[in-house]
Amino acid sequence: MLTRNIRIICGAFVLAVSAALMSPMIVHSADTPAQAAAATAPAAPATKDAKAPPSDAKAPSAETKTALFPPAPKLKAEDYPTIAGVNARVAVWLIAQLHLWFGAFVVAVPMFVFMIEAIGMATRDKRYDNMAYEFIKVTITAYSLTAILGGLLCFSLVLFYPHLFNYLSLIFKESMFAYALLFFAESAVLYIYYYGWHWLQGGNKKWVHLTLGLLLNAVGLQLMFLANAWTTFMMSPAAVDASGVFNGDTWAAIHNYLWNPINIHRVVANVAYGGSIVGAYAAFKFLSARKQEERAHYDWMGYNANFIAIAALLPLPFAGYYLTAEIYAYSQQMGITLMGGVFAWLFIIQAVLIGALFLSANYYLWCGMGRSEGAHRYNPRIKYIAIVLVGAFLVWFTPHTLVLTNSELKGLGGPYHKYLGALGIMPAKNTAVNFLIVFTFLSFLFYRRANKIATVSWAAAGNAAQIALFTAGLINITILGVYYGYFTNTVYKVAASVPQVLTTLVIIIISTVIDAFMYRGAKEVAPLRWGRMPDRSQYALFLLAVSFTWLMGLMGYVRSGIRQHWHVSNIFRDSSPDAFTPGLGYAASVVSVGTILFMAMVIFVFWLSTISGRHPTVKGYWKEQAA
Amino acid sequence: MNSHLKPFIAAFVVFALVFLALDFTIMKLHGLTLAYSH
Repeated sequence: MLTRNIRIICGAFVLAVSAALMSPMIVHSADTPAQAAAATAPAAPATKDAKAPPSDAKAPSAETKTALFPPAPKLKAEDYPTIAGVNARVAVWLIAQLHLWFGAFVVAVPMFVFMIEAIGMATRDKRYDNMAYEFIKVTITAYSLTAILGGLLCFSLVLFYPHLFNYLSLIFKESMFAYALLFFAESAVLYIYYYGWHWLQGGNKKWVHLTLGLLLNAVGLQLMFLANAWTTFMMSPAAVDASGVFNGDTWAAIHNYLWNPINIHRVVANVAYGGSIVGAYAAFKFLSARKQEERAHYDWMGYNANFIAIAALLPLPFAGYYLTAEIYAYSQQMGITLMGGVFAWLFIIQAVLIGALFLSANYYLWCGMGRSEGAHRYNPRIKYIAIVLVGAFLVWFTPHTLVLTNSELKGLGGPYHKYLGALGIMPAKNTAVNFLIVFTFLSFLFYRRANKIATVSWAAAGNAAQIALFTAGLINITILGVYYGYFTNTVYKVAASVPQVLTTLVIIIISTVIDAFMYRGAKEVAPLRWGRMPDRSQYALFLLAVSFTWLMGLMGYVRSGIRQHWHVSNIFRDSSPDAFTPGLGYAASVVSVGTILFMAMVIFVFWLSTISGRHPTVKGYWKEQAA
Repeated sequence: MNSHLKPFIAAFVVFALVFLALDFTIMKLHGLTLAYSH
């Protein structure tokens, strides 16, 4: 039975992976073999109407092939349609960001719900199954909102940027059509997965249900990867010549330079984000719980959500660093604009928000230690972790180039602070973030140990080894940052960030292994008191969700803004009236408005889940009651 | 104290060597030396 079930799930996995791998082949076969034609045919004169003429029934000539893929149009401001009272740029910006927030949530939740359901099946602990079901319930409403916002985004792009949409849809017509059709699969699988949760219980049926969860993830990721391709094509176009004529290779257009870096970044970031949103849900339910069992249940849910968010948050700085490195590698101009030019100060705001995320997540863990009777053994050490975290946070957000008036510039003797300016460059930041990650992991280690007493004979030696591991690792991280960062050249400086990351990973992995062996057969101090949490700890979970949302909005703006006056970098110029880089304050205000709108919608989603559980008995209303 | 000190020193030496090897390998993969040279 078990072998058969494993075969079913492996088969579904192979099917999903094959479908994902086959899609470029299907896309390839839909390509027009126009490479030679595109190379030899002259670029068509720029016209207002960029729509390609339809091909006739005869074999297309070189000229027709070129006409099928015209060059990027050269537009003027009056070519962009306007609607009175609507700022097109802000409208598309907000709608796209709202769609992305909800989309990220809807893609992320099935990922960790799949793992939670599997854990429930392995441990036969129904709490995990109930929690997984509750997470999917929240996702259902969010899924509708994602679709509504997606439709609104599509409308607004067609209305306000018709030429851009036309140009992109000519290149990506196959993937856009596949994207639309994939929603049938996504909806079908999601609804069967949710509505069939209690039907597909026990034995074989549970495996079928788990497989549906796997398929849901496969389809969701496929949808995200397709949409990512259109976004990254605008930043790093491929399969087009200098005038924007497409050579017909759709797979090359999809698989452009920044596609995989953004895929990796978005997969990891979405999991962290999804964890923070369901954490906010758990916090909301905890604070409004009336019974002790409810408080205990939502406290446990909040802990799991925070664990998911932190687990994905730890590798996230490196996924972001990799994306930035690839942006730099693709276009030094975009890279410099991103972190050395006009957007540099937005990265200081990002640093503040990430610091807030780490502090908040750690604070929640420290409060969580209060659930255990054995936590008093570790409580005195928490303040040292807090000191290191705050210190690392201060280094993390210290700027390099300061915003100064001319007189301030003269007074300071330059744009950098004499002593603190050195902390504004990447080696210091990398060192600080690795410290943040290692000490957050240490908080989690203390949390895990709080309720256990090791019974192995070598516990003292194991502890000593752990301390040595952390000490050696942190010294290594510091030396790598200081020596290569300030006493060598740029090549060494950038290269040294890789061993820093790996040192952090080695610390986490080896420490986890030592701890697992050390606490085998450990005695429990006392059963954990789920629900024994101060209300302020739940506000830490709210802070996580809001910070994450704001951070995503800010970085989304930055990623889009580095294209500056291009719809498609260096290919299709943005000539709209709003094609300017706004002031940082203005951009931050738009992101804030978006965050407030999103939070309002999320509160609506949470409220819906509350009212759906209410079944008050109304006396004397129904005729059956009167009889 | 001894029950902590000896294992600490031993583990510290081992992990320091591990991290040194890691740094050397990664820098070599980048075509660089461990110690800075022009």
